[in-house]
Amino acid sequence: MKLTLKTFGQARELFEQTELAVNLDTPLTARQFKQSLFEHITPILNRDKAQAILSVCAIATESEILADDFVIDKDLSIALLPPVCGG
Amino acid sequence: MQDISINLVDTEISLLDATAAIASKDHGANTIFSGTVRQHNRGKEVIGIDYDVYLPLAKTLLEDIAKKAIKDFKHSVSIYIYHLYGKVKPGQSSMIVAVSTAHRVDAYRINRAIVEAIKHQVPIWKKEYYLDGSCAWLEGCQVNSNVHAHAE
Repeated sequence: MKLTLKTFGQARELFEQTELAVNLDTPLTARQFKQSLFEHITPILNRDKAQAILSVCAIATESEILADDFVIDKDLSIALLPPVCGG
Repeated sequence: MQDISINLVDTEISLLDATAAIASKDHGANTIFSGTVRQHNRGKEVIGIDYDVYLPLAKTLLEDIAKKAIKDFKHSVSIYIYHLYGKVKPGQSSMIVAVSTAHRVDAYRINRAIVEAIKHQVPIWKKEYYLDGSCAWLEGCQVNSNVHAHAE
């Protein structure tokens, strides 16, 4: 299954890319997807700091924030959203 | 009449445009909130903020927020929401929320509900740049799948 991860804000610095392909076995939940991202984090980063950032990120599509138990079972473009601060 | 205008732009936004957009002879109350980049933060001099945004989701959530804010409001209202992305300098407005209704209590309430919801829910991030050469992502509010709660 083709999953594309889009990164924003501070989370972008975990991967040093705005977009990357993630190959995973499916189906899996949004929570499992987020946990799987840890292995894709750029190795130069402090792992504890990276884990701390990932733990407060939400997962979303172009139209909605996904609940932790949302089942991903098809090709999707998924955004990783760190805490927001508009205004 | 319930008129809602929403946009995310990478050019300057105008208070005059906001004022004109919500003008109505039936509305006696016009509230305009303008969020402006401060020149000092964290004890440092700020030279600019770079706003990152997830555009499609941000647009959808802004529309949801505006609709939720007037869900039980049965009277005429005009709402204008503009948010910048990209680079913004101190003194520049980064966000305008303008609301007009017949009476001030409703205009204030709806405007504030929208502003608070934007800060808590919309996928926008700020990277602040300082005169000393450093920069930092600003802390924010963690979002979850119940993102509409704040607008109600």
